[in-house]
Amino acid sequence: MDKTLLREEIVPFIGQFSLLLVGSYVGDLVLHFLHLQWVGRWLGIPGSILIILSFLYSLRKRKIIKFGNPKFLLKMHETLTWVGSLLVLVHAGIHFNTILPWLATAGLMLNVLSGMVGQRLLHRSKVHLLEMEETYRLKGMSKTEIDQEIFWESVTYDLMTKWRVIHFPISLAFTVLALGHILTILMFWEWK
Amino acid sequence: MSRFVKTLIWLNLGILAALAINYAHLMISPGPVSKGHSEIQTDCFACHTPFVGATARKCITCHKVADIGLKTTKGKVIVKKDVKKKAVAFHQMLSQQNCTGCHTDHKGIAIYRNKYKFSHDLLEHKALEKCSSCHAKPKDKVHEMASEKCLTCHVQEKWKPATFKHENLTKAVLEKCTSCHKRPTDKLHKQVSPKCGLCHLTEKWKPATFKHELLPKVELEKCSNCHKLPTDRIHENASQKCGQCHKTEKWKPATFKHELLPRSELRQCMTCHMRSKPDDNLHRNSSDRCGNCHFTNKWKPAKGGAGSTSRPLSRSSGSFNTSPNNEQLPQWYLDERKKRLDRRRNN
Repeated sequence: MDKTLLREEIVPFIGQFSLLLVGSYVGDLVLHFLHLQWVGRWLGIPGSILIILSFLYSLRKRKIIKFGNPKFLLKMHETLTWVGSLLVLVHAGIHFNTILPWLATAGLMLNVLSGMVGQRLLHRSKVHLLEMEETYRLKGMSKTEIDQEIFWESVTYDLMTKWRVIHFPISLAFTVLALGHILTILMFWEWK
Repeated sequence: MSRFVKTLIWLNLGILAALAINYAHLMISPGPVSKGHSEIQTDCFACHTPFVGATARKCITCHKVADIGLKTTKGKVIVKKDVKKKAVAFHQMLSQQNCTGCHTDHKGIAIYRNKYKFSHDLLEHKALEKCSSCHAKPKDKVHEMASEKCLTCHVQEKWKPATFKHENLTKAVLEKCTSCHKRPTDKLHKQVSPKCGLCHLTEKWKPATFKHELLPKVELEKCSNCHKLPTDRIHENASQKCGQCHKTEKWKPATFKHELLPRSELRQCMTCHMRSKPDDNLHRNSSDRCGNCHFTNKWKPAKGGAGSTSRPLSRSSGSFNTSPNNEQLPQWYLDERKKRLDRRRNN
């Protein structure tokens, strides 16, 4: 196997995902050990808020909103979804009580995996587009203009377009399942 | 995204929604309900009001407040398996109807809440004063004489620690310390009266103040019953009547009276004083009877002089019956001296 592929793609991918799983397990374990299970019950709320905030990038990308640096928003999208997912996973714990929340959790995991694949693909496309940067420079474009151009080129790269076809329905399914779970909670919660 | 994929996704989600509505107890219920509620487990709204939660009004529909603790929801009288335990009906005494304040259902959320967590705050003030209507009074010695007002010593939250105030006891009970406390079995306490309060305080056992005056006269003379006798040279030959020299308040200073010694011992000055005669020219040739020259009250001044200590004391040394300090001499001493003088005169 190509050593560069292993070092730059596979190891970071597995490491990032494993960290998420181990972090969730340790988080839940600590809460149980400290008899603070009730904290886990509420962690779903900040987790969901972080995930919702990460959608700012999706809105920016689709030009629904026009503010914010796309590069920064993408970084935020990656970070907030990871941290939000960690909180939601601690919230889920290892409590198999009912089906719908677990479907939502499975949707979340799939979404995270898909997002991380996208992150790798983006990284790869950036490498391919480095050569283009040189071309733009020769054309006499400024540094900011080149960065913007390269960024949009990288996210619209053919591989990314194909990946998005998969990532979008997964995100949609997760969103609907999560909303279903939230709705039922709001419906049956003890409001006092 | 192709239209087919979109349709497929929405179709799946539609199926999920239908499942959630029709099989809510599997899809959204956080774990199975309790055994008593198993008949209504598929009907979420039997207990829950949408966006309000499980209200007491819904609970009371089945669980009549007047019957709780006495009859089942089907009207059957509740009989405790353990006959010693009585059925306690306290739900009727609750100040407000808030079922979920104590009760919960669904196994999945049990880890978040204590099952049947009871709060005394929910009880009416009147009921709060009658602890024994729900709690059984302990049958131990301490509680035997205690009143029904548990809150005098205990708090609602937990049985221990409890704060006991002796002031709450009646005078008669307060005098019977041993009815609650164990009497010490040491030598000192074996012979004292059971009225601990004579020496000890109710707040704490130590420090204690002991008054010898409280002892009967017979016991007052038996110092060694409580105190350890000193084993030094001075006390070796002393009687056990410590009070002859010492006071009850403190051991020192002590006053020793030579007159109290038996005659035979009085002559053996060196049993208590100096191991041997003073090793000077004056005393080297003197007899062992210190009393020939010295008096018991103090060593100096002494009668006689160097080399003359063996000379018996004569009338000229002062009054026959008194010492040079005009102290009354003991009778036996005077007798002895008289005999000695007579013997000399005859010779």
